[in-house]
This record gives sequence, structure tokens and C-alpha cells, in this order.
Amino acid sequence: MLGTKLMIAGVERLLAELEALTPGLTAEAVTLQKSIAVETAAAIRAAYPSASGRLRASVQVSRLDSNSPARIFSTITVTAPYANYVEFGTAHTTPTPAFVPNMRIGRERFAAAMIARVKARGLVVGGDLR
Amino acid sequence: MADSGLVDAAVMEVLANDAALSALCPDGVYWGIRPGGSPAPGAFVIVALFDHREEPALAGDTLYEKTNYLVKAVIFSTSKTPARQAAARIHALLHGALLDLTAAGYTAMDCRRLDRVAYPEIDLMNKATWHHHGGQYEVMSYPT
Repeated sequence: MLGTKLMIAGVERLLAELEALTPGLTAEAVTLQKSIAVETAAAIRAAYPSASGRLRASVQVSRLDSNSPARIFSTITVTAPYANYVEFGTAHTTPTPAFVPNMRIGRERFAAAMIARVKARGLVVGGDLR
Repeated sequence: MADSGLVDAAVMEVLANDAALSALCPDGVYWGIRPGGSPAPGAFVIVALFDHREEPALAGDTLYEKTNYLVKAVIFSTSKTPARQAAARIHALLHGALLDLTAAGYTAMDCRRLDRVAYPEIDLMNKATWHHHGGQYEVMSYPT
């Protein structure tokens, strides 16, 4: 069986060069991403209906480890096993969009805030920013 | 004044007027929930508003709108195959389609699937399963 291997070299070096162009940006991004993730989780909780409170309590924010100093990751998870049924509905209940729209808003807020910080350092930002 | 609700209706009309989808989901196309409950067996399509944003232009006008619809087939069956087939038909009708929004007072720019939706729902009353298959479809349009 034939196998294909794709290697992309130099990404970490590129990230290091970008970090050098924007000193302190990664440190700012860590704080910013954390605060936006917490606010996004709060918005998701508020959008969910509440009977026992279990669904709202199951919305969790966590920061993922990265072996690169120039990459940061945060995740928002909803662990209640019936989260799908609430978000997308059942045969007998309406969908309740909460996670999907608020995650979109959170991602866009983070991107906009980062772009503003990059511009504040005198750099130009272009391309498809979706 | 543009009425975004007419775009919702146009999306539902595309689905409701398709013979192949009607054959797979003969109980109809509904907004949000099937009225009067969902007695088993049943096979229908649900359309719901998931997300909406507008790009403002000058003088209070709207440059374009992006609307994210949840569109899914809901089918009571021992197999997920019928729901999967209905979702494939929904995809053929919507993904990449330039919808006719003339009657809604809009011009369509694009329609794309953003994400798939597929999950089973156990019906405890009937000891069988409702299969939900479809996706999130984003319609881009501007008021004509």
C-alpha cells in the first residue's frame, strides 16, 4: 500500500520571526484569549435553558498545552450528554442555538482584538480575516 | 424595508418543492418544530435559524447578510440510512446553490455547508430511534 507523507518545515521558525516583529504579543494573547473564552462560556451558559443547572454547569474552559511559545490554544467544552439535543433539537423539541453562535462571536472577537494589537505595533494586516 | 424572514421562507420552499426530498421525508418541512408533536413513525425536515449577522454599509444600509440555518432530516427508523440519504439530498439542493430570493427582495450570493449534523435520538416510548441528519448551511445575501 502506498503511503503519502507531507512535511511542512520551518513553521516554528516563521512563528518565532513573527513573534520578534510583535514583541509581547503572545503574552497579551494568552490573557486576552483566556478572558474572551471565559466570557464566551458565560454567554453559552446564559443562552442555555436551565432546569437542574447541570447543562450550564457542564460548560468548561480549558487551556491546552503547546510545545511552542508562539501558539496558544483554548477550548470550550460542554460535557452534558444531552447538549446535542438542546442545541440541535429532538423530534419533539426546538433547537436552541447557544454554543454555535456564541463560539462564532468569541472567535471573531479574539481575531479582531489581535488584529488591533498587531496594527497598534505599526504592522499591516491583510487577507481573508474570517 | 428588507424582510429577512422571507429569506427563511425561500429556503424552506426550495426544500418543500423537491420531489426527491419529499419522497424521503413525506411528512413535510417545518420551521423549528413539527406542529402537534412528532408521532412515530415519521419523516420530516426541520429548518431553524442558528445565527445571523449583518455587514453594515453607509447611511444605515446593509451591505450583506449571513444567515446560518440548521437544516436536518428527522426520520424514525431502525436504520440511519434514510436520514443519511435525505441529508445528502438537502446537501445537493443547498450547497453551492444560488437561491432565487427575488420574491424575498434579496439577491443570493452564496450558500455553503459550514458543518454536518448527525446524531440518534432514542425514543423511549416507541423503543426505536429518531435519526437526525443534515447540516448548518450559511446563506449570504443582500437586500435588492
